Amino acid sequence: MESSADALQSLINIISFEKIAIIVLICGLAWAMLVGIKMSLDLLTNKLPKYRLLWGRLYPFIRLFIWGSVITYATVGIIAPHQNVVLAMIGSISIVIGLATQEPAKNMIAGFIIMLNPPYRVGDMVTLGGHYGEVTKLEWSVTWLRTFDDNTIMVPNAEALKTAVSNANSGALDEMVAIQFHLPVQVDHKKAMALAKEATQCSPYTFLNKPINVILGTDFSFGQHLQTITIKAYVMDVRLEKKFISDINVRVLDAFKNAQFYDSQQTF
Amino acid sequence: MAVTFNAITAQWQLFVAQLKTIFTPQKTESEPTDKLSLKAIAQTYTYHGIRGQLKQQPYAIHANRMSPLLGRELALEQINNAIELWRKQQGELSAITAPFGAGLSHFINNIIHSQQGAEPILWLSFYRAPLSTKDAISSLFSCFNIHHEPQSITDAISLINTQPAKIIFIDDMHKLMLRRMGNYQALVTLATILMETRQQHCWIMGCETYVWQRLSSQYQITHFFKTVVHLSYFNQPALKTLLSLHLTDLGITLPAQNAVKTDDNTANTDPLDVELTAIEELSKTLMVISQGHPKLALLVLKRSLESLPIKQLSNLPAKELISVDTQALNHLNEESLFALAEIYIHGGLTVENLSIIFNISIEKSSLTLEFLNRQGLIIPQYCEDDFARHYYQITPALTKIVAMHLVNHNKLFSL
Repeated sequence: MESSADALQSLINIISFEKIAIIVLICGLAWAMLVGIKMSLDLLTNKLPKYRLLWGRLYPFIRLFIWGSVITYATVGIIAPHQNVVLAMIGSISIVIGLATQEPAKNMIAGFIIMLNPPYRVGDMVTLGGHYGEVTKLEWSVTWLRTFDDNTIMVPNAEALKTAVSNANSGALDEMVAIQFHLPVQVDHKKAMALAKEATQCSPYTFLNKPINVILGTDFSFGQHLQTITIKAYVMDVRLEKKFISDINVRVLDAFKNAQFYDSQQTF
Repeated sequence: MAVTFNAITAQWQLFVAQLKTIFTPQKTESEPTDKLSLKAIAQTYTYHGIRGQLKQQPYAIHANRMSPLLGRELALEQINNAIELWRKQQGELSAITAPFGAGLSHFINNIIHSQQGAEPILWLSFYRAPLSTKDAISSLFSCFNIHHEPQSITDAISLINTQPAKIIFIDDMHKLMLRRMGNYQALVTLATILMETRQQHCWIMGCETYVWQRLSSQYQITHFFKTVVHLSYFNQPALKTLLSLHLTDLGITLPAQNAVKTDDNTANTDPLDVELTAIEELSKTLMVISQGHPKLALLVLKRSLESLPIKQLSNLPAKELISVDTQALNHLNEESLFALAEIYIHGGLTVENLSIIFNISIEKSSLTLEFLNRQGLIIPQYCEDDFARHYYQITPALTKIVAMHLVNHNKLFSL
């Protein structure tokens, strides 16, 4: 068994200038490499936007891998500490970190779990912490969302594991959108459904490779019997969701007005 | 301390600016000579005609100057078999799908030429999409020179079934589809009539590939067509043959083959072999540049030859071939890309149609189309009477490049 004096000597050796310089250099290289990779992925996103979700998804994994490799190499290959030192340091650091950074540590662990078993990925449209938007960045401790109002929202990763997450597109570029219309109960519901479907097909933002469903229902509100027409269709790109909803509203309302559906309300 | 900090910040900003200068591609005022811009390609279609009164036109069948089909033997056999089955009273609907510029019309012309049957053959192009049941019936009535108003779909089917048997080629089925209200019902009517008259008349529809995919996903059109032949752009051997066939047009003459070998059996290379090797090499490079689009390949070769005083292809190294500069495509915004996708999928659009499809004013529509025209991506056919009827289509030699760009930018979809 080695003496504790040897262990202390090893600890002193760790903080030698050469080793610190090498670790800083490696960290610098890793950072430069990550910047290069990020720039390449951004370039690919511009060239092939169709695959932007894939490029966006790759980066968190690459970053995790590179920093993981740097930490492992720096610890095992450069510092190479004595076993006793490692155990002592892990114990001390764990207590300090555990006490001082409960919330950040929780978020980081949540971030790691999200990367391994993702409820959402970069590019997905999610409702997270009460906010709806596109996931733009997935970091160790936080997730960044961009809402349709162009607000950037930072949500702690622990929030994703604590509450329910609604994901609108789950890794696909297209996304289902439901749009509801109310009509007087007297109007021809079959004609209304046909018009709603055709108007949706006419929108240039409709993803036609997936079905368009029109669902008929009834409602009683404001003392009136109404029929509800719900269109469930896919938009070509999640970013066009609001534009798509507006376009469908314009087209369907035009079709309903041309068919004089709203005029009938006055006659009855 | 503050001064030092400011100096460091200034130095850093200078460094970043220098880096940007290094990595940003240099923009030159003049067009690079080794690149063919989209505008220059579009300018080869300068006079595209003035748009007159629209009418359904039968195509002229060129029996005398028939050029051979390249790599389409199997497809030709499939269509001929479908026609034979129809002659045996087992008629079903047939379709030929091909991307724009892959030679669909040329293929149909060859089928017509190969058919020696007694039935009259009609080769038509639909000039506009039907927007009602009546429109659809009228379009089909015009194939049989029936001029009176259709009463009902039942009457229409009976009347068409009493007409003498015909083989009917519809060259551009994609023009039947339009993102406008009423078109859906018209297409359903049209499909019903075609299905009910398929035993009497042999219907063969030509359709653009992406439109066919859209029709398949939207209307399950594949359920109604028994024979569907898919044509694609040329592969390298077909492109090589195409080049060989057009050498005279390009002002290139092949040397005669050396019949006599030298006595000392030295390795003197036959000039013809040298030329054939050059064609092989050029076709490989042209394949990469044009992605198999025959018109673009020939255009690139022609332009490359024009820039050099060459009479033999062996004097033109493959690396000297001009490439296509697609920068204009990269500068298009989302709105222009959507417009371009709709122009592509419809085979061409008028100012009025684009304004209806995108719910925009006619003026905005006109400006959007003119902008795309200025980029060389579409070519116009102007109407003297009404600017809303100006018609724009994708520049024929650029269809493949445009389609690939739209697919990569999530504006066109394949199944």
